[in-house]
Amino acid sequence: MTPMIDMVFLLLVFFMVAAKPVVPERDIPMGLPGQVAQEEVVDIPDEARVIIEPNGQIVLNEQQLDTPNGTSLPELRAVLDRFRLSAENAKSEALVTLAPHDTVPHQRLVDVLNACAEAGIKGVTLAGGGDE
Amino acid sequence: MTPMIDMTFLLLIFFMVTQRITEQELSVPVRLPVALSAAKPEKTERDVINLDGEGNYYIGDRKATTEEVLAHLKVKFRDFPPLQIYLRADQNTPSKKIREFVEMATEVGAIDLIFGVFGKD
Repeated sequence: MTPMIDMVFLLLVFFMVAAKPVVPERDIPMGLPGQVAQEEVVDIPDEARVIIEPNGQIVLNEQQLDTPNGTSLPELRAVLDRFRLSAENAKSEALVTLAPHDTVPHQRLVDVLNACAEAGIKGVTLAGGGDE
Repeated sequence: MTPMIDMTFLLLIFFMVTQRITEQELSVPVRLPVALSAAKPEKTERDVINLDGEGNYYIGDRKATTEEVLAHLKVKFRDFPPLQIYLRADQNTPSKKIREFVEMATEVGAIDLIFGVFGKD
């Protein structure tokens, strides 16, 4: 009996040590328009177009914001904050269009989405390619 | 003595099973991006698509081509209409690939797309 218990303990300890802690994942929900992707450019008032250049530099209204490498984007956040407030005053919804360059890594996209979420902007769309 | 052995067996089986689950999840080489203000997931049925750093798709843990993913999404959307798609994309995936996926999801008629990210650290 005792050798069996020893074995079981050994296995138990092995599996306990081998068990990796599971890092919980989180969500960034996106609403899709629910129709075929649009071909023409549509003009919408109160829309901020955030361009992400290949090196990660963020450009909004031809103005470079933050550094290409930092994960937190305080300048972009401040601008988006003001943008949301002015849109609220004008009783319209603040809309942000993201236009990342084709080679921009996903992390950069998520950084900008994160800044939008921090600034309280809910209407974020992803622009189709081919504008550069 | 016997109750202790029972408990030990129970724990042993528990850890063996959880290890199996963890391995399955980690079998696709995807490092999710980090976003501090991401929401905690609600418990909903969602269809998981993985997208690694080179732009290869995986349906669950099976590698798939772009056409296969599109066909898969079409079938899923037909069977479970308000389809929630959970995209686990690597942090190095080029945004061209993300956009391509978003367009595919839009094309099949899905309105709910979720980017998987890690929260703090």
